[in-house]
Amino acid sequence: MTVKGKPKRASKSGGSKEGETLHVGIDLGTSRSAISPSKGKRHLVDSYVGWPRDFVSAKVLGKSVLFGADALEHRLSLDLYRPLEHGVIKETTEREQEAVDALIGHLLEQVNPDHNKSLRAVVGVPAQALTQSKLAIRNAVGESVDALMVVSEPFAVAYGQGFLDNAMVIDIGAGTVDFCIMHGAVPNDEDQRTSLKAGDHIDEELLDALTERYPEASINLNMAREFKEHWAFVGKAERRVEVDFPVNGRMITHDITEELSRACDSILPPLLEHTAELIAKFDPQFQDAIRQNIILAGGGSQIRGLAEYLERAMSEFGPAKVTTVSDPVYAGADGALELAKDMPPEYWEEV
Amino acid sequence: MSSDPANTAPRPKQAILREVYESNRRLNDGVTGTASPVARATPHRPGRLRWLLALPLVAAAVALAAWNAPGPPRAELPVATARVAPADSTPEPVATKTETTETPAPSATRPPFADETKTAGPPGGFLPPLPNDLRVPQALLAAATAPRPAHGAVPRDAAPSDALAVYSGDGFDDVSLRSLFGLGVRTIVIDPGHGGIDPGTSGKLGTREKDVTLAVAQRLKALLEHDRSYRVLLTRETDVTTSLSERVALANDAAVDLFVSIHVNYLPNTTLNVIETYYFGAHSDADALRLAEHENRGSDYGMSDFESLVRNMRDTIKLQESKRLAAAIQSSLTGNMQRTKRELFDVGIKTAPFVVLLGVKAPAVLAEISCMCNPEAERRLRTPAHREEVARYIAEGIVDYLEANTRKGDESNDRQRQAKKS
Repeated sequence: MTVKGKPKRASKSGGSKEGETLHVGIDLGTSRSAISPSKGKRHLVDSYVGWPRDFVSAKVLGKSVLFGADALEHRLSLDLYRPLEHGVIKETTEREQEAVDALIGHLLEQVNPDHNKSLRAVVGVPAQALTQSKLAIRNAVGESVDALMVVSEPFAVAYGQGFLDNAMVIDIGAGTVDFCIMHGAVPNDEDQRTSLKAGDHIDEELLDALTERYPEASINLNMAREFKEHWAFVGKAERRVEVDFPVNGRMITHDITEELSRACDSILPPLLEHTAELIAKFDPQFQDAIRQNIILAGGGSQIRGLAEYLERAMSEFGPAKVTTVSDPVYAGADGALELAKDMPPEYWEEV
Repeated sequence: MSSDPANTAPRPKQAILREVYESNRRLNDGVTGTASPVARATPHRPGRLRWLLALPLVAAAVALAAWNAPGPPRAELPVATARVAPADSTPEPVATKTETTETPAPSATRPPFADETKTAGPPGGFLPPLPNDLRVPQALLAAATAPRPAHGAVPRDAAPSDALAVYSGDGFDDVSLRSLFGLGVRTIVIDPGHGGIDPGTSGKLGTREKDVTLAVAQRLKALLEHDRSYRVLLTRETDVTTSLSERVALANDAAVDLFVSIHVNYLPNTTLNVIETYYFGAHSDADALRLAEHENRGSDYGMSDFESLVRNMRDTIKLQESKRLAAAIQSSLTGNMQRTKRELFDVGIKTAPFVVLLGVKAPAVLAEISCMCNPEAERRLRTPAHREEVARYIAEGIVDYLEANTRKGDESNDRQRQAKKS
């Protein structure tokens, strides 16, 4: 298979000189993917890959493959793919597989443009990803790095933030919301949950609500996502949310406060349910401590009022404290990087 | 784990790193069977995972094709003929595995049931277990296992169900074995396709197959429980990830009598809205195989499991009844829905190698209740009213099937009484 956009590495391991190892943490997200290297800048890319539809678009665009926001902007000239779904690889068609490979190649290219370093990567996957999904990610990334480990995303966040004991991490992404209780060990299945009512669900709910209210309007999922990313809130609106979209070809300003509120509220029941259930199942002597150490991360944690809502709701069970990490979008990749850096060399050599 | 205080004691960071390393080793070992590391794993091959998933399908298709293929009478079918696997697609052909172990050959390579009992069974008649471990009463089987006149031999292209058909002197009666043996239906398992991390197919409006199937299944359960007082179980009650083998295990553990899997189709490059109902068999056409590949995604059966399941396909009662059940549900769904939805295409009942149908030890069908690629169909699938409607029609199909069997059973008893008198 020819994969456009995949970095051509000189060698996988043998060609790297001593001291040129680069550790990377990768958060492959349904909406955005992030990579944090041990040396150099971090990068964030929208998880879109597009190939020009025909020779005309290839000539106009001047590139054989486009990624992220660039791909989204030129989507009408592209065969556009969003190859990740619910935080794992879709792998339904050959082209989607190519898109995953190209996206991973693009991410690695950003941190290792000369392809001259030995790469050791830790990749985050949804907390309850099936073994098959983990293997699919492992296979896709494994080709481009020298050594690889796969960990649960919320665990990577917890590790990076230093919340290793008596804490609960909730990683709110586009495809999944991942829950994980940390108790001084790697969490097992009983300590983790994955809910699929995440950012994408809000987009769909918002689009449905707007389409129902303005049947003549031209709105698509992409626009709904943009509205959410700018204005999403839970609880009382700080101000009315007014946006522009066309109705019968004319751009009109609409007040979408109510629709946006309902859409954002739609992820709250499972969020609260999983949080309460996981804590309630934990050792009773530690439940109070965990309830007072709930950490939100991921793009969805930026929804205004979400931490306050959760704290208020969890207070029904006892004292609760919910905080949001300072850099929610990179928290997963940064945590994975910390794991990669701390991992003893002998483990890498064996894995 | 969560409630074990010993496990809640903080561990040093090194211990956590060690656990991460061990879990990744286990992930590798689960696939390769050795501790071969990720970095030294064979280079990534595009679609390798899909190929692995498709392997059981290829094996099933080959086995079933051989089963139904014209050729020498099945009793004389050379075993090796049916074991041929495509050389270019199977590094370790099924045949090799089967031959090196001493497990019995798959049912497709075996002679029909009656011949088998005659040639290989111990005196007095060896009876392989039927679904749900039901054993056929000796008296009832006498007709089926008695030496047959030459003109009554099972034709080489006969359906597998014919192997247990009853010889009445004029040929083989098309009598339902279920009704003949008085096997009542008590437990019905409804299987809402996909779920959890596997959304199934999606429409342009964002409707997800897993949501539709669950909603329809819940309504169907309520209808069946209300009207017929059956014990009705769902393979998943909520939006949770459930593997195909877990669904099969749940059904078998519950001693299922009927199994109905509910799915929604998506046809590529068209907006046609078709309804089709499947039972297990070699794929009827390319679309059926494509669909089976799609619905079998997430199967965690190993090859050894699959071989064992294929062997179980000699359960002729299951095939026969699955076909009848599929026909009843298809007829009810299309007959009712075409009255108001003119764009619907009735493509009838089909066969395809769905893993979930193969494993269940009872009559099992898979209904594709609509097509998400049709915008109007997708819009309807989002409404509670339409979901209720679909559930009602499936329920009617199930009830029709059960009532038809009851009638057949009565007729069969009448014929037997008359035969005894004469």
